[in-house]
Amino acid sequence: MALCAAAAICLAGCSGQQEGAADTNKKTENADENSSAGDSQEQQHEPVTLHYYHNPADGGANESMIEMFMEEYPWITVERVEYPSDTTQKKTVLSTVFQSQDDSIDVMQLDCTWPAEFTQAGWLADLSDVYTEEEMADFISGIVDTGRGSDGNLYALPVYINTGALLYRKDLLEKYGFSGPAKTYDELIAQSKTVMEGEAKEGKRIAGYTSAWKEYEGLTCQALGFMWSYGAEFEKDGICTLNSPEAAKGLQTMRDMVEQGITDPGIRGYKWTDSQAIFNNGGALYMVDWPSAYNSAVNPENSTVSDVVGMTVVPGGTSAEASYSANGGWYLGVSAFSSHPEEAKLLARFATGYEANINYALKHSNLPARISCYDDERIKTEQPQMAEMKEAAATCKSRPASPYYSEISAEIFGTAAQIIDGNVDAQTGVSQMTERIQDILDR
Amino acid sequence: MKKTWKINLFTVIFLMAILLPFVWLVLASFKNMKELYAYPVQILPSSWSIRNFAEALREQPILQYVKNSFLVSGIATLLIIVICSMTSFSLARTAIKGKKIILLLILTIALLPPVTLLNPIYMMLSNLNMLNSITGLALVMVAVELPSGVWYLMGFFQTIPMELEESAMIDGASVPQIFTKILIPIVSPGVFTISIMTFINVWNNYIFASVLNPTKKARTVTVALTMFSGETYTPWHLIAAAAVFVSIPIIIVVLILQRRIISGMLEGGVKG
Amino acid sequence: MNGKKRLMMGYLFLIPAALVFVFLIAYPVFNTVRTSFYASRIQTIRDGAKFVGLDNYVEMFRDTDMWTSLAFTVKFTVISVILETVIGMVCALIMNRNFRGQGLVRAMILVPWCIPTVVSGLMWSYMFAESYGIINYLLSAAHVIKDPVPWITDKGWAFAAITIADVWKTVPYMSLLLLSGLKTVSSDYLEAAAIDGANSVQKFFRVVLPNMKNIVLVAVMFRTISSFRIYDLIKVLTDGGPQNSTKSLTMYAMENYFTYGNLGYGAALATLTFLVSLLIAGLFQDGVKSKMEV
Repeated sequence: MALCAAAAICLAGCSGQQEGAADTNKKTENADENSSAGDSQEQQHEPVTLHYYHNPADGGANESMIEMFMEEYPWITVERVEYPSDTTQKKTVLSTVFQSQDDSIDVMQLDCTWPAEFTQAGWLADLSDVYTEEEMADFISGIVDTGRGSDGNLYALPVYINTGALLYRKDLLEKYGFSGPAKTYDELIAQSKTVMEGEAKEGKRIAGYTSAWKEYEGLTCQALGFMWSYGAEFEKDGICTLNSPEAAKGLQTMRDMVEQGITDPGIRGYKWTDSQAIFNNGGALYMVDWPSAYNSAVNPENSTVSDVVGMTVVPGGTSAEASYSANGGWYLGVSAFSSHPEEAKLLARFATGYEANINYALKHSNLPARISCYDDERIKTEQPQMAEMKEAAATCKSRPASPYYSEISAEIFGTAAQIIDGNVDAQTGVSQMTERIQDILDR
Repeated sequence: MKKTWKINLFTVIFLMAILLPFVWLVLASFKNMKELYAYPVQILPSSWSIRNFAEALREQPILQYVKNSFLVSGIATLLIIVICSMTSFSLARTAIKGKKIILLLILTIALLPPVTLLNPIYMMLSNLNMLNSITGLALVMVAVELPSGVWYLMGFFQTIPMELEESAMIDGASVPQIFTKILIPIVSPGVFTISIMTFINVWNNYIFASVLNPTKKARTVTVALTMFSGETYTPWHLIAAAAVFVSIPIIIVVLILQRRIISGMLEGGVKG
Repeated sequence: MNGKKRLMMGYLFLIPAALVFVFLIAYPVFNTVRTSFYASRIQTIRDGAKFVGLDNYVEMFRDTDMWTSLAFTVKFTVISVILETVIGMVCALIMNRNFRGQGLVRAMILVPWCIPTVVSGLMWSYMFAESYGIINYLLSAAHVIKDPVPWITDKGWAFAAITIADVWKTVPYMSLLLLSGLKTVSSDYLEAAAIDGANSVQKFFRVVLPNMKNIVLVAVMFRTISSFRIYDLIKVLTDGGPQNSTKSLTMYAMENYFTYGNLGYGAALATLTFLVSLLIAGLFQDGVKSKMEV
């Protein structure tokens, strides 16, 4: 009961602030060149309410972004609706709403694997007129096409990207005389062996490498990263080209790491939180995760190794330069059934603008999708490791953009799991996988 | 006497096994991330501060969601009690035709996986403008909980001998009076049981609540509990704190209701 | 006069349930079953849906993943319902006894049920974790195991993990239902049995159980049907893994319907789930029949 009382007091103090976000009083500040010059805005525009669906647990990033937007466009009220956390559930919500074609969603965040499917279904509005070609050049080139439909028009704009990062234990590398983190997987394996043997002699159990290799979308990102790092490409001119020695080598490397005991024993059951738990408790030398894991790892509340963690790009395969990672970023779309398309596009433009990118970076450690943001002073001072990731960000690759991506992904992570578990050899595995993916691409 | 000792020991061990996860959950609500995932396992939190509870309540308006959940569950439960007792009475004690078919139809509701209902129900509620509403979700939940309530109450209604009703009719009571003054009290243990069942099942429902009531205004607490997690991180300490905070009223509700069931059963037991 | 009035009341009293059924059930179900006869996909939704008759069902029977799901779901349902019924009965018997603090004991038995499935799924996955999970910790502290058990990554152990988590959650529900059934067994019967010299085990199987038959059967039937449709718990605990070995039929249907966007196929799978559930209800005919003959 004391808990309840204390909680109630906290809530009473803070509820006003939270619930009021959507009902912020409109201020009469003048905005940018988008609004008509001359007459005051309230007279020219009818008040409009937009519904904006976005990810939960964002550190307040969306809340502050919307506050800035509503200041600039006082006649637009934005009601924020959080998605559930689980990706399948998010898609269920969107799928159900869009099939009914009602207007309850105006603007929404989209996982990078959804635009192709939703565009094909005719659920997204054409956003080609939101930015000029010149303005589009500021976005990282490799990820813009994910938002294009088969007709070449833009249906989704990048909000932020996410590229894999390698976190490492500075203290262990120093202890065993390594000059820096591994640049290739071969180096990583060799370093891990040394460290693991050394620590075992002192009676400490440590793994060389941990990541999220549970059989779901995360594993596809990892598998693609490995395959790309050894020179494989997903497709060329509509033909899936994963039936290659390079792809096999990539997946074989994952298997080798397990066989040689480099990976944490539970790695095939981990999603990101489980893997972070291992690393943050000193259970691994290396961890591949998204850059946001760095903030958690250096936080003494979360991690026992908070002062000895470093971050760099993921190792390369064939060479140090061949370091590739699948983009885990998010996009923004406007519903084709929105009853306020013009205002929705204003929000789309704002939410993907320069300031919004910086806001996401500072509030929630999301890597900007605009290359110019990486040179911003605020990033350099408050998130310096982000500025270092600029090159990795620039070479970030998109996952295959197909309306049937979910099924393709299931083939990829299913095969990767089989190979890693040793149930099938790499060459046979990729060959069967390519055949089935080709069937899907041919639909 | 020996037997009682053995039974009591078994009961104690058994209860410990049942409560272990909940105890672990409560302990988790006092730890921070470092302690939660410590290896080797750290049993007790380093401090018993309620900061997780405070943070969880700060991050989401949990109390408002609890209120929503209470309303949805409460309304659904009341409707279920009324509709199920009426339907069970009709099927168990009147001579209407087509009972087999009706029972089968009612059963089919219980057999359907939620995916069959999700899309069409959403569209219907959307057309009626009943999305994001307490009543809309409550009505859908009534449909979901209807079959088990009807079938269960039928069992109670069937055990009441007709003589009871006949003697009441001789005394001049009308059928509605018999229904409300005689039958319902006798089946009240059953009514209380399905009211607990319905309340908790509706409270725990996730899939309909998340699709039909996505906005804050009418969100239920079960859905909100999943919103502490980001795409790549699960703040288990906050989720545990919120879950514990939310379970306590439920456990109290159950404690109260189950006492009434038992006392109701002792009074209204059907004697020969 | 009273007969007619009674009959009228009978029909009138059915109206609320009928309304609920028609609007919230009949139409949606009809819709879904209809969709299962079309090759309808989100990706091609603009081209309209093509009527393909039983093609989806044919494909379903050729789909090895469907059979894997079905086999797992049946195995899981049978095992968990048996465990829930037996343990639930034990709990009901405990709750039935009069002793000090019985209210508290009853409340404690009901605790697992009060925790939403999405939370209990996360909780169990946290407890079953190989390295930082409390279960492995307790097992090795009690010297029951030497190496940590791979609860989530091994097919057999994952099955056990799900069963344990599900039984834990539903035993309260079963025990409540069975308790109310226990209470309806008239004490007259028990007295008569005692006079005849029956001891408590005999009393239980020969007197108590048969008199509870209806309640037990209804409870088991509904639990079976519920178990067959399990989704939330598995999604959070194992996400269908490892290698699809714990993917329930409902999860497979949801995956096809929402994740892959294959509406026609997903609808066919949902209809299959429905038909199998109908079969299960049919298997309970004996108990059900006595209700049908009203």
